[in-house]
Amino acid sequence: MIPAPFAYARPTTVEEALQAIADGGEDVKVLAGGQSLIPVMRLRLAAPETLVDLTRVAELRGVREEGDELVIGAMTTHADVLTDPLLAQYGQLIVQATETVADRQVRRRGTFGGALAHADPAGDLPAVALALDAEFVLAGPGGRRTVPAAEFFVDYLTTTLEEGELLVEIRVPKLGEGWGVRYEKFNRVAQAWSIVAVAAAVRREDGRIAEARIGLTNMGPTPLRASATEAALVGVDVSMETVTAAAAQAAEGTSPSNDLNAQADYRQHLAQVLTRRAVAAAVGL
Amino acid sequence: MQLENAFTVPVPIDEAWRVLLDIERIAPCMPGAALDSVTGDDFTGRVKVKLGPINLTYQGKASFVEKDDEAHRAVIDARGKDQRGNGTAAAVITATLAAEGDTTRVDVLTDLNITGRPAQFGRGVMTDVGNKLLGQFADKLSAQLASGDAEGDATRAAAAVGSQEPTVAGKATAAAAKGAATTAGVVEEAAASVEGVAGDTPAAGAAKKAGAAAKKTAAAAADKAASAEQSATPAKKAAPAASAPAKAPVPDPLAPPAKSTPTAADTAPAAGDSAPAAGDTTPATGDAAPFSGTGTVEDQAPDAEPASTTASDAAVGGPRKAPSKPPAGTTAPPNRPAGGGPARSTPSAPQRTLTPAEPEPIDLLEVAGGAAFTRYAAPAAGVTVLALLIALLVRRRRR
Repeated sequence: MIPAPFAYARPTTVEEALQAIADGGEDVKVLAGGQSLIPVMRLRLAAPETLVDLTRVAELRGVREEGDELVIGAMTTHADVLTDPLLAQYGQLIVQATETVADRQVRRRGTFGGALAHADPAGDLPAVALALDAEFVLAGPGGRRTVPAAEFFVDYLTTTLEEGELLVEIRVPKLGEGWGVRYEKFNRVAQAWSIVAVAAAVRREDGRIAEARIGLTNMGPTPLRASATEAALVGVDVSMETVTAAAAQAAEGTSPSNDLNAQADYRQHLAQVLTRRAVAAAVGL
Repeated sequence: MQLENAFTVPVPIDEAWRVLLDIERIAPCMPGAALDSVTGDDFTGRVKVKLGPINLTYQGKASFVEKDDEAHRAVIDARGKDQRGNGTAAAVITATLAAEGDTTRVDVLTDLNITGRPAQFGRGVMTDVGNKLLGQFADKLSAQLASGDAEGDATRAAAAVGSQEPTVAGKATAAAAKGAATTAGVVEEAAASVEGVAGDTPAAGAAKKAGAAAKKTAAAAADKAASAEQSATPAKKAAPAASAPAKAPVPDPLAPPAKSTPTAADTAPAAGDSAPAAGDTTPATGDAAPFSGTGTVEDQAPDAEPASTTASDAAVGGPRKAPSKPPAGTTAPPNRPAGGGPARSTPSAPQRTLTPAEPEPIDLLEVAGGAAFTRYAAPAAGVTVLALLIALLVRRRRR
């Protein structure tokens, strides 16, 4: 179907983009890769008055190093993420998760920041950002602010991004020596949304687990951390028994939805199994 | 899909029941909901649902299909269509009240049926969205009821007037004994009738909003008056509040001459002031003069009931909406008595509503038809002229 008519702006800088959003009227949508927004517009479930296309804003693309952090531009496409040397070295968890996002064509256009700002609970990247304690830099008419991932995701398709604000970059800590990572995704057909997925990053020290970060995809309206499992893993020996015991608590405090793909209790079971697999793979078992 | 919600409100069951049936009071509790009209037990309105990039506006009507005063059970049947043709939504909402000492437990069972694209979109998201909307509704309603408790007798009096039964006059008589409180209640009712029945002109829409704000202010004023038990000073305070909102009903052409207003006028001196105040100038209007227009809504609200959230809401809404009030006054047919009575107490009142959902496709067809006509008019004229020319030429040749 053909989308409803809309005004179109294609700024080249962040300032111009913010101005375009401010001038756009009541119902402005920001177009990043358009892999979710355009289908919804074609279904006419969304009919924004103005579309602000960020594809020409060059400063929003690319990955750079800043001390202990990697700074990923919001308009960096999934394809760019997969080929970036810095991410290959320090951001393997992001790379692994991005590899499972949709198909090659979608990854070509879809962007890292777009997927996060869309905040689909079944999307793969929000849980990774949460597990890594990423920081989101938002630009607005009144300047920039930084929001931690734990506060960024509010609800279904809802973030702390306010009207007139733009997600410009995402800061993630470098995971270097000692860290093992794994993204375990469960879906029934290739290139589908996650039914459940688990992102795990684990740091080993002298044969023990020193730190564990586990993010859950699609176990609620927002991505979640498996805090109980994280706590249970700290200080334990690296063995299948300890990992299995800790993973049994992965679904604690979650209330996943029921749908055609899976019932809530099945999702909770999946979360435990996938957490065990992800942590085991991350620590090298 | 079936959604179940339950919440407890800190008011006795009878009061909770009355508030629950006052649709204009509970409708604002629904996130994104707006009432367009109320006629007896039927009402029309809109519900906006925003979910990420998705915007849906369901427009439709709803009605009480069951009101069981004994079992304290109400059933509302609601159905609507998305404005952009994205399917329909239908809900049968069953609310059951159960007394738990001084508090009331409200069980809400919603049978929600959504068709069209939103139902297919989003992998079962609609269930959660529905649950969330209802949860917010329950929270707001329980807050609303809790503040209703503080308002005490006045609210009850106002609620008695506000209940949508044809027996409202009888109840109002009883309520009128509460004097000034009822006056404000009546005005609240009158304002509510503007809110409910105002027509489709922009000015009338503004009047509707002003009426809504006035209603809330009046409710708060009623409360204040009652708390002082008919003492003269608060009654006077209530009077300005009453007389100013009473101007709002003036533009309402549908409001029948109020039964309850004269009753109130007989029993309460303050009511006597305020009822004619709308029509022409009396001492009460003299009192109210400094408070007229925008100022009244603003000034009266803090004065009336600081604890009431609705009152302060009205005050916030007041300054922005009130400026469009004067034009509403000019559209008023002058032949109607002022202080228009509750439209809701006459369920047979003709319903002047905005029903844009239906006519739209018909309009489009008409436009298309008109376009086709204009498109073919010029060629048709050309062909006619050509035929005439040929006919003339042929004639000339023959000669």
